[in-house]
Amino acid sequence: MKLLPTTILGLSLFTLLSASAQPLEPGRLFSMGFPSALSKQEFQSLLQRFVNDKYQKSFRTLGDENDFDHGHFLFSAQAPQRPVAILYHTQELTHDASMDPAARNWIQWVDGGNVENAVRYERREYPHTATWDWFIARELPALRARHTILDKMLDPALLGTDVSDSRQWVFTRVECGGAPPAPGSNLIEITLPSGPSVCLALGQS
Amino acid sequence: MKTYLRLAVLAGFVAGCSSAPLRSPEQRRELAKAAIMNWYTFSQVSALKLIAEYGPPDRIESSQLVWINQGPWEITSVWDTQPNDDTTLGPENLEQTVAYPVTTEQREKLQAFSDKIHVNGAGTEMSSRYSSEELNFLALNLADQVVKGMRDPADARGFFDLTLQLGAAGRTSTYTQGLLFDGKTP
Repeated sequence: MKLLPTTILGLSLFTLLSASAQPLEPGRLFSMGFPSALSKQEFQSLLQRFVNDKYQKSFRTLGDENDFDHGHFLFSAQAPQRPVAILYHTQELTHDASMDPAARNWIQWVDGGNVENAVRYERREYPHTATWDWFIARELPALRARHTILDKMLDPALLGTDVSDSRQWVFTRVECGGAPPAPGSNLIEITLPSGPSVCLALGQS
Repeated sequence: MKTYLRLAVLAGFVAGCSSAPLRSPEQRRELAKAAIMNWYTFSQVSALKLIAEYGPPDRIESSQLVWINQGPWEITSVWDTQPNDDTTLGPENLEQTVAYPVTTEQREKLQAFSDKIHVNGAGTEMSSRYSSEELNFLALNLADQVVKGMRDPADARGFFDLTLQLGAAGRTSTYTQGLLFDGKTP
């Protein structure tokens, strides 16, 4: 996999995050703001399904900020405790000729777990307010250059829900020493389609 | 009515009034909108966003708008500038200031971190000059960590660049969402 020159910087941050991503005491995860109506096991199952579907197609290194280490839980005003979907960004700092650079944004529906390319939900038009005009002029070009779709770029009409809140959760690869994650900890375990398991620490940034 | 007010405002500029003594928020809003009418689009959208966020500016000049004590900032200043192709960040035309005591030794560290960070002569205020409020948050949060010895200048520069890249890739950072320190007590 070809990495950007700045990956050296990325690795240093990854190292920093890994060092700080120690297992938490049982119960701490929800006090950190993890959605109360989504269990850790549910999220683990959702992420496992995503990994089964997209590993080696949309990303190669799970739990590494250079490639794939975060998702945005999307909440609707009607159900503020349980996310309706998760927006994942893959190939964060990597460029791989064998992967489609446009296949970086994914919507996974929490109920059912289906995964779709977020491109189909991207806004075709934007509202005209001072804040949106600024976003279009100042931020959108850089995002488009990286084929990135942010939560605010999703069209509520296409999604079928108005996203009222979005919370980013990061899953950082850590060593679990072969032991299964304790139920109340912030650790989850994902099995890669190639065989090995990866231990991930959940955190907010 | 608004047309008359704008004409009056513009007449004020023509007469050389660089900072008209208009007091009502509506008058200041109209004056500000008239002032930025001929700004470069890049500068204009920044000014309009700040007006939407912080209300009408407190000081209005033909090429600069200034807010005092709005949000976490002591001073917010945006000015008209020609877009350039030197950087993907856009022209650095937004300066935001916090109260923050800085010693001479700390000042040198900050200079080594970024030439976009400025400390006033008295060492009581720290300002950041970038193209957006998010970048000013990021720069000042890192400046605070440099001052406190939590990062060295080179590390802070690397983190700044990495945060920009990850941001363009879709990852948000608390460093760009607000000040992570109390400006008056570093």
